[in-house]
Amino acid sequence: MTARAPVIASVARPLIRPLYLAYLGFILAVLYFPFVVMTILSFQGPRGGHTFPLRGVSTIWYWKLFNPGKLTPYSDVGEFLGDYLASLQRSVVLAVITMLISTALALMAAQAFRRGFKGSGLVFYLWLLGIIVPGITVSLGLSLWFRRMDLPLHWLTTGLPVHVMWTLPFSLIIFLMFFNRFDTSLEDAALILGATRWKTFRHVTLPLMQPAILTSLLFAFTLSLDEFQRSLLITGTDQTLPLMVMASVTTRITPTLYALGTLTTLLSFAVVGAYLALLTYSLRKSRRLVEGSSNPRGSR
Amino acid sequence: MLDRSKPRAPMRQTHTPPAKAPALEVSTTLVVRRGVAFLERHPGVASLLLVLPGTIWMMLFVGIPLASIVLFSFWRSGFAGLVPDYNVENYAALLGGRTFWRITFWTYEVVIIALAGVIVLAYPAAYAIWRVVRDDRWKTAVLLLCVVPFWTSYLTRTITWLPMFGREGVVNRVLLALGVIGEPLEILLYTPYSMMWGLWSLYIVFMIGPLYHSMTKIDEDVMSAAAMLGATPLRTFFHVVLPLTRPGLMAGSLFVMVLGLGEFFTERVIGGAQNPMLAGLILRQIDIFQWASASAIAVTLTVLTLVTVSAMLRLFDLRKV
Repeated sequence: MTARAPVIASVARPLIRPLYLAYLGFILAVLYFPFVVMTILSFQGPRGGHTFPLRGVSTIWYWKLFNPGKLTPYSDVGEFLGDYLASLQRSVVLAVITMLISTALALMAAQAFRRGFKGSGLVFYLWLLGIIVPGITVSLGLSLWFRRMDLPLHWLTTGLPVHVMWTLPFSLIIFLMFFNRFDTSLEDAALILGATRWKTFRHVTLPLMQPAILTSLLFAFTLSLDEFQRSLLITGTDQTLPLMVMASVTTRITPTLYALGTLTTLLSFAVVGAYLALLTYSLRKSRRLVEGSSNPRGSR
Repeated sequence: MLDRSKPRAPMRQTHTPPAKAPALEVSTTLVVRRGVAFLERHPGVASLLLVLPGTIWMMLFVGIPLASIVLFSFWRSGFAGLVPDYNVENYAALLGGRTFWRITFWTYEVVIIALAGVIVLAYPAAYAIWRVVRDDRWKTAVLLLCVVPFWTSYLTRTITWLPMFGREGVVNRVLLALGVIGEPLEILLYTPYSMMWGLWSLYIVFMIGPLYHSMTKIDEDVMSAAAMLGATPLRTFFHVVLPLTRPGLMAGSLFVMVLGLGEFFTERVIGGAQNPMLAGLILRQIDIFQWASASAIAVTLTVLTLVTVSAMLRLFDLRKV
C-alpha cells in the first residue's frame, strides 16, 4: 500500500485541485442556494403557497409585510397578520443597546484579564457560562423568577439583561483573542515616557484596538438581533422579530415570511458590509499609527 | 521601577482651580483626581473595578435562572402556577420513566452525528481555502463567504430549507426531472434526516472559520519539511495538519456541541416535531404548564451540558485559540 500510494497520488494530482474547488463550490451552494430560492419564492403570486410552483409573480407578500393586519381579497383563514416591521424595529433598538453595553463591559474586563488577577480563571469560566448554559434553561429560570417577583415582562427591560448576558462572553473572547496577538511595545514606550496608565490606554491602546472593537460590535449586534432561545419566555406581548418569526412558523407559513427573510438577510449583509468597510479603514489607520511611531519623521 | 508620581506633582499644581471656584467643585475634582492616582498606584484594585460590572451582570443573569430552576425543580406545578414544596417527585418521575432516557440518548446521538458531519464537511473546505485557493484576495473572499451566514438569522437559515426539501420542493423536482426517482421522496422533509441536514448546514459556519484560523498559524516550513521528507498528502494531514489544528477544531466543536444540546427550533420546524430533543421536551412541558417538571429537565440538561463542555475544555484552553 505504501508503494502504491505515491502512484495513486501522481495519477490523481491533476484531479485534486478541481475536486477541491468543486467541493468549495458545493459548500457555498449549500450555504447560499436556499437564500436564492427563498428570494424567488418571496415574489410568489397572490394565490401561491410557501413552496414551488410559482403561481404568478407579485409583490403582495412585501405589501402585506408593510401593511400588517390589512385584509386583502386573497387573505386566508388563519393567516398570520402580525406586525413584523414593528418587531424588527424593537429588535434593532435592542441590538444597538446590547452591542454598546456588551462591548463596553467586555473591553473593561479584557483590560483586567490581560493584566491577570487572582481568580481570573474562575471569573472567565463564569462569563463562559453565558454561552454554555442552554438558552431555554435561562429563559425558563428567568421567566419563573420574574413571574414570582411580579415584574412586568417587556422586550427592553427584561429582554436587555438576557441579550447582554448572551453577547458578553463573545465580546470578551474577541478581545482576549486580540490581546493574544497584541504587541505591547507601543504601550511600554508610552509608559516609560511617563504617560499614566489611563493616558496610555486612551491614546495608545484604544486606537490600536479599533478592529477588535468593531468585531465585538458586529458580533453583539448580530447575535442580539437573532436571539430567540434566551428571550423566548421573557419578552411579554411585544415580541422581538425572531420570536415573532418563531410564532408564525409554528402556526402557518406564508411567503410573507420569505419576504421578511429576504429583507432581513439583506440587512445582515449590509451590516457585515459596513463592518468590513470600517474594519479596512481602521486597520489601515492603526498600521499607519504603528509605522508613524517607529518612524516619527516619516511622511504622514 | 519608575516612580511616576513625582514628575506629575508640578502638573497637579498648574491644574488647581482658582481659589474663587465653589468649594464643592474643588473637592469633587480632588476626589476624582485622588481616586485616579490611587488606581494608577494600585493596578490590582483597578483590575477588580474593571472586571466587576460585567461579572456582576453575568452572575445575576446566569446565576438567577440557574438557581431558580434548581429551586423550582423541587416544587409542584399547580393550576395557578408553581406551588412551594420540597420533594424529589419531579426527578423521580423523570429518571424513572423510559421517555427521558430515550430522549437523552437521542439528543446525544443527534449532537454527535451533527458534530462528526460538520467536521467531515468543514475540514476539506477549510483545507481547500488554505492550500488550494492560491490568490490571497480569493482566499479572503471565499473564507468570508463561508463565515457571513453566521451573521445572518439562524431562524431564516432554517426556514429556507422548507421550499428546498418539501414534497414539491426543489430537490424533489430536480430529481424527478432528471428521472432519478419516479415519485417525490417523502423522507426529505419533516424527518430526522432533514433535521440533520439542517443542523449541518447551520453549524458548518462555526467550524470552517476556526479551522482555517488554526491552519494559517501552521508554519509553512513544517509543511515543506513534511513534503520533502516524502510524506504523502494523507500522512501529512493526519500527522501534521490535524494535530496542529486541534485548537480550531476544539473551538468549533465546543460551539456545535453547546448549540446542539440546546437545539429545539430545527427539530420543530424541519424535523417534523415528532422526535424532540431535551430542549424540545422542556418546551413541550412548558406548553402544558408543567413548570416544575420543565425545571427538572432543565437542570438535567444544564448538568449534562456542563459535564460535556468541561470534558472538552480539559483537552484545550479556549483562551489560547
